[in-house]
This record gives sequence, C-alpha cells and structure tokens, in this order.
Amino acid sequence: MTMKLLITGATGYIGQRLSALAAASGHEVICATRQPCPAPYTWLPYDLRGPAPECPAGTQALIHLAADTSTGVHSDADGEVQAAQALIRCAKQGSARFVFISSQTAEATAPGVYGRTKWRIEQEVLAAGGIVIRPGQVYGGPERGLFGVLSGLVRRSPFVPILMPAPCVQPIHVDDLAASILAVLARDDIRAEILNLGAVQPIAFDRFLMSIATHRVRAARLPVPLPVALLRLLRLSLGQSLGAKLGLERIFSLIHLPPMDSERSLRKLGIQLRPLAQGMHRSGHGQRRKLLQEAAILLNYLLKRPPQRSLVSRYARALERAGKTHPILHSRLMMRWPILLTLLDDAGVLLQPEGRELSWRLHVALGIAEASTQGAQVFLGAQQPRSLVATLVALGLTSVKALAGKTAALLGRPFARRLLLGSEAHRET
Amino acid sequence: MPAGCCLEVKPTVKPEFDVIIVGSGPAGTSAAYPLVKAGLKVLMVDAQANTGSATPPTRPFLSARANDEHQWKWMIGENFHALNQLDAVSPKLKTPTHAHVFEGFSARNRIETDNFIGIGSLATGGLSNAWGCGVATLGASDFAGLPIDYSEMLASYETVARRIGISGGIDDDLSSYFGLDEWSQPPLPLDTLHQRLLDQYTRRRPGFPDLGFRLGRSRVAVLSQPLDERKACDLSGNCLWGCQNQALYSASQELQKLKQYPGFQHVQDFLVDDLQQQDGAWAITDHRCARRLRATRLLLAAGTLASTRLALNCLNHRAPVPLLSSPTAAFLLWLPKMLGTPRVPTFGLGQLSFALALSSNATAFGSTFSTTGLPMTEFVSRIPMGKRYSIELLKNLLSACLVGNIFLPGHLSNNTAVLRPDGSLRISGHVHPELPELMKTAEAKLRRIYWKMGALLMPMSFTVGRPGADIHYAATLPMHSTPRIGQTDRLGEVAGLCGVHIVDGACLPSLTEKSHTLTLMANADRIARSLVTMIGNHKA
Repeated sequence: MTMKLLITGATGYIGQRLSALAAASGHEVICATRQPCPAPYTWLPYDLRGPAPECPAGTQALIHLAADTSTGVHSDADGEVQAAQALIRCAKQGSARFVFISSQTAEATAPGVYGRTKWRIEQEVLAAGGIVIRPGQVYGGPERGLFGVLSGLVRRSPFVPILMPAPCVQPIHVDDLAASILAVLARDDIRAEILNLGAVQPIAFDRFLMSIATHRVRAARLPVPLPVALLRLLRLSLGQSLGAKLGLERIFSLIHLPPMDSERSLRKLGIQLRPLAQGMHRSGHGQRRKLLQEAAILLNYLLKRPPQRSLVSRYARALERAGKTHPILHSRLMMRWPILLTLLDDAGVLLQPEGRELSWRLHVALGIAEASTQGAQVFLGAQQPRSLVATLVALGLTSVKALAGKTAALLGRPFARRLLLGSEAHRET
Repeated sequence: MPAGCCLEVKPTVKPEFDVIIVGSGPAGTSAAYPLVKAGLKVLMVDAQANTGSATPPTRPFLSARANDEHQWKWMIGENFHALNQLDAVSPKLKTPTHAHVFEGFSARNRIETDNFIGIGSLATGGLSNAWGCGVATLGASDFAGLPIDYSEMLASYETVARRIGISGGIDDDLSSYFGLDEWSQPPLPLDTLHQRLLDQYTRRRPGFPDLGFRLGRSRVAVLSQPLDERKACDLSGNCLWGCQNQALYSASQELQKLKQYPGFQHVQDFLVDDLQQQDGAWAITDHRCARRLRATRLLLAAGTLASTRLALNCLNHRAPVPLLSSPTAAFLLWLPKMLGTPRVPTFGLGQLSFALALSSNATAFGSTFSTTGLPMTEFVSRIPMGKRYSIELLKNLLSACLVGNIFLPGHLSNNTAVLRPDGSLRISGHVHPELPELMKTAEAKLRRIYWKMGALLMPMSFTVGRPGADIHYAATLPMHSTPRIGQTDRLGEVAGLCGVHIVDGACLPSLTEKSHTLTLMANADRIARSLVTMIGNHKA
C-alpha cells in the first residue's frame, strides 16, 4: 500500500533518511521545508515560524520532524507549540494521520526547555489522536544532528570523556527509526499513543562514544574521567549561550535521562534494532569494512606488498556493484600473512563449487591490481634490459617458489578449507 | 538472369530516398561512396544511442601504465566493465573504451546463440571500431563459378584499399597471398622479437616451402604514413585501448567525409526491426518510434547476423541456413634467446603473418602480436600456478613472448542459423568433423616450424576458440548465379525480395582463412557501382 506523506523537517538528519526510505518503498513524499528539497520529492515551502501549509489533497499522514535546533536557546518554545498546533489542524482538515517525532527527554518537569517543549507538543498531539514517537539516542548514517556533534568531537579530540556519574543512552540507528515510522503508518490500530524507540538495554554514554571511536572514526581514543560537576562549572563560567553553541546544552539533556521502556513498542511494531557496532559503520552494517579487509588480503597476496588504499576501496566498490556485500575471506591469520592465500589459490580449491566465488574474486582483484601504477611495477617490472642468465635464474626461483606453494597447498588442504569455510560460517552469523 | 530480376513496380508516391543503407560499418560505408558520388539520395541508419564515456589513454601505453594514476578508468572502466566480462573471448570485448561498440547487439537484434559466440555492433562504424585491421584480397579462383567479374572485384579492392589506407607493402613471401602491395604504404617497424623471427626465417628460408609455410609482414589497415586527417602510427602501443592518431582504420571515420555529399544523410539510434514493402517502395521501421523511412532500394549492411535476421524475417523463411565462420585458435610463442629484453613501445596488432598449408583443401592463416599493450591478466590465469607466482613468472617471461592466432577456412565450420516463430534468429555452433584433427596438425606443424626459427610454441598454450570466436561470419545468404530462396544474386539482391540487397558478409559465397573484411568492403563497393549503372540505365 503506497501513501502520500507530508514530512516537515524532511531535509534534516532523520527527515532525509525517512524521505529516502519512504520514496524507495513507493510512497509519495512531500517535503515541507524551508529550502527546496532534492528532485524526486515534491516541495511545499514551510517555515516552522510561519503559518502552517495547506495540506495537499489526498495526504494520508503528516510526519512532524521539524524543530528549532538552531541556537539551542529556546526562547520561542511557545512558537514551536503553536506551530505544532497549526500543523495538527492542517492534518485534521485533510483527515491525515499525525505523527510527531518527539524525544526521550520529553517530560513535564524536564531540566531543559527542549524536553519541556517536546512534552507540551506531545500533549497536543495525543489529544488530537495523533501518535508520538520518542526515539532514544539517534545515530548512524550521515554525521548530522547530535550524532554529528558527537562524532565530530570524537574525531577531533584525542580523549573521550567518561562522565561521572555515567548517564545512559538507548541508541537507535537512524534507518531503524525511519523504518519504525513507516511501520507505524502501516498500522491503523495505533492512535493517541506514545511509542518509545531505542535499545532495550541502556548503555553508558561513554561506551556509546567509544563505539563511535572504534567503529566510525576508527581511531584509538583515551578515556578520561570527567565529573559532571566540572561541566556544570564550565557552563556557569561560559554562560548559557556560549555553552549551548558548544553543544553543552545538549549533553546536559542526556544527564538525568530516565531509562524508557522500549521493548513493548518495538515488539508492537515488529522492529528489530541492529547492533550498535554494525550501525556505526558508514555502510550501516559494517560489511564494507570486512570487504576492505578481504581486498587487502587479496591485493597484498597478488602484489606482494601492501596495496595502495585506492585499490582496496576500488575492489570493495567493484564487489558492491556486482551485488556482493558479504566477504568470503575473513581470517586474522591471512590478514597478517596474505601469502597464506597460496593454500587456497590452487586448482584443487578454485575448481570446486565452494571455490568458485573465490576464483571470481581473485580475478577481480587481479584486474584491479594490474590497472594501477603500483601494478605496472609488479606486472611489467623495471624497463631495463637484463642479462639472459639473470632472467633465467629469476624464472628458476619463481618456479621453485611456485612448486613449494603447490606442495604446501596440497599438504595444507584440510587447513586451507578451514580458512574458507571459517569465513562461510562467519557469513551466516 | 539479368540483374534486377524482379519486375520493377513504379512507386505511386516517390519515396524520399533512392537508397537506404542499414548499418554504418565497413560494408555500409563502402556501399555508400559510389551511390553518393553518382548523386543519389542516400540515407544511412545505424542504432548507435551513445558513444560511451570512457576515454582512451592520452599518452603511450608504457608511459601511461607507469604514471597514469587513473589508468584503471581505461583499463577496467569506471563501471568495472572489464570485470563483468571475465569470460569474453577477446580482450577487445573487455575494453571500456569499446564497451559501446558491442553493447546490446544480440539482445536488440534478437539473436540467440547456442555453442556459438555471436558478436555484432550497434555503433556507428560497426565492428571496425575494434577490429584487428587484418586485410587481404581473395584470388580469382575464390570467385570461380560465380557470375562476378573478377576484374570488377579487383577495381573495387583497389578503391577500398586506397581509401582506408593499408600498410605492410613489401616484397616478401606473402606478397602474392595478400595481393595488396601495389596500393599499400610501407610496413611499420618490427619489434626486436619479430625482427629476430623474420631474420631466422630468412636465414633458413629454403627449408620452409616443403613445410607449406610462408612468413611475411602483416598487411593491416593501419597507417604508416599520414592520410587525410589521420596521422601515422607512432608505435604508442594503444591499439587495443584506442588510437589517439586514428592510424587504425574505422568506418566511423568515413561519416564526416560522406556527409560532404549533398545527397547523403545519416540517422543514428534507429534500430531497424522490420522491412516492409508498400507501393513499390521499401520502408524500414523501428518499433520505438512512429517514423517510417522509405526508399526505392534497401541495402542491408547491419552485420552478417543482423542482416540475416532481417532478410529471413522479411521472407518468412524458416528453414535453417548455413553460417560460415573461421575456426580459430590462439597460442603463445617464447623466444628464449630474447629473455631479458626490455619492453619498448611497439605496434599492438599483427606484425608478422603466415600462411600454412594443412591439407589439400585447407590452408591456415595467422599473425603474431607483441604482448606489450595487452593486459597481463589475460595470461595469468592460464598458467597452472598460484597467481602470485604467475605474475612473477610472466613479468620475466612475457617480454620474450609473442601471441599468435590462426584461422582456418569457413568450410570447416558447421553452424546454422534458423529464424524462429517469434522472429528471433537462433544460431547453433558446430564444427566440421575433420576440424579437431586439423587443429592438432596445425599445432604440431607450427611447433616444428617455429622451433626452426628459435621460438618455442608454449606447451598447453594452443587454445582452440569456440565456434564464432573469430567474429568472421559470412555466407548465410550467399550470392549465386541462379539464386533460390535463401540466396542472393550477383548484386546481393535477396531472392524473393525485389529491391533488397545484402552488401555485408552475409552475401559472401565463401569464407577463406584470410581476413574477410576487405573483401566484403570491396564487394559492397562493387554492388553499389553496378547499382549506380543500373539505376542510371533505368532512369534513362
């Protein structure tokens, strides 16, 4: 069933992924945004501070994502609530369902204005029979929103602060959130309800930051304890507006965050969240990294030296283009000693049905290795004349090495199978 | 029977063109010249929709390999074209710069194959955008029993040869075999390996005639001297990837020249899927557009496979027709004395050619090529070693090696083409029962002969291609003095389709071991000249 969806804040962090997913699922997307939206969507000019737009005829749902996050000082909380009210009216007139993306921090007595405003809007939405979605810590995909701020912080700073006492977050991948919103829309029986979406088990905020360091930024970061009291002092000394600019305000909203019960909502929608480590990768599932590792093994084996980085990513792109996202080589031993691939690069393995995929990938790696300046050196050699004897000796040496490799492949076949089968087993997990 | 056997019906509405030529390859362009020169209104259509985006290397091959960080774009392609064609029969089919030449031909022309490699082109210039440039004339005996005046054929050979530019003319043992020297530019310089082979051959020359072996320069449609806007070959070694000098002949170079004739028009992206006769004229249609183009006569030059389907479909002829192709094989030669030779810039197509008598009625023809300029990946997987060691081995070995190919006459193929009820053309590849034995003979003879010249034909390297791998297709609707349905007359006019002529390989009566491109071009020229005379007489 395809729907016509009106999305405010469609060019934002969540909105962008939601629009893309909705369009890919065959829905018609109308973006109610300040700036014109990209080509496939219809644009409806809308500013949170202006009047509500005319609800286009046939709109089945209005998803309200737009929020004033520009300065962090919510001087115009009332304005935001009024904007939401106007949108609710607009949806009512077009008899469209109303979905409001709120926040885990929404609470009548929240310490920040942000949480209190969200709570006020929630009340309006629920009263009108709309649906409220409270996402936990949204992460993954492009580095935008709070996730963007935190990633930028981890990227720049050699330290990761360990807040003491440690606040907890319940992360949700931005694409899982987008899928959840569409799942809500597919269900007619959900109305006037709050849905909590985020990891069932809260994790410490510093673990979340370390996960960004390990899986996103891919760099070692030193954990440094940071008492919350010290941060408060910092805020006092900087003043509110500067503190907000530095993102302090948003970090404060995390402290004192009560855990939410997300299990019931997730079960109701039938959504399963991806593990944090997978979601942190740029690809959203961490497969690309493993493909890159496979590329490094294959190319290093062929070129006899660490391959240029451009070749490694070219291999991964070639495979992804062929629709192959799963690695078949994933062995720490081979990553350390790519020459071990000799055991597998043998007719006894490659001509078997289970070796066919490896045979194809070796060909791909071969083509990519050759078509490079690095490859030209290895494949063509230095263009200087060499004596016949020296060349004969070199050929003899190669033959001896190849023979030794062949023998090793024969003797090591049971072990070699494990190198490949191990990766097969890995593929299934 | 006189030409134009059918009764000419005066068209009620005069069509907008005198002649429509379907296809802009070597045959189509060769047929166009005599027609436009006679002032006829000629329309040429081809199915090229895009020219591809890959750009060929801009400097000599070895320098580009050593320095060009973006070499993967022309070697593999930004869309990884080469990697999607790992099973292709020839490196040409993998080259990104040629992707558009071969793309979509079989699917859009509705050609299906079984044990046969069916290649064709929708591009302007056709397969000549990516050919081996081999040229040769056929002897008078090859036209025996046909109502074709050999002197006419010779005149056409000369016209075409002078127009496209041929090099390799030198007095050697193959001069008479090729029959082109009179109209040729001098040969291109040989690389050191080929020079050594030729020296060895010359030194031991008296021994070779007994073996039925003759060696000489390859005659190729590649310039050794400038011709019009085209520059001479500068040995940059980019023959496979795209020649910056346009030294290699391609029919696509003719379009600019043809367009200077006022009667000539060229339409691209028009895939002829049907021929229709109406009011004494012929119309071609492309189901994707409503446009119908009409002419008094149609010349089919869409490539043997496509022209065959169009003709058979129009005739509704469902009996199988024979399809000739030259059985082919490839091999690797090693010159041990040349080990340690550095790679130098060199010409990438055939440098030396040979003719080898195999039996009383079969002669083989072949050429040898430098390995520089070829992707080494082609060789690595053929060596029974781990790839890591194959690379190492070839790095030291390949600069002392040459690759060779060999073609056998078409009568040793046994392919058929059948028009199926749904209008598609099904090609089944088979070989003559004698062929496997002849191929073995060829391998053994070549090994012996090359050994005399100090070169080793590498064990296990002699690889026989699948039917059709030669891409020399011919004789599905052969010219005949008294054509039956499924044949054509001496002007390629299809029996039963008055006014429709086949001017490409499909109408050749036979296929020898020699490269047939120049012959089909000369034949197209000959037919077009006769048509000019005929139409002139008719008008008068």
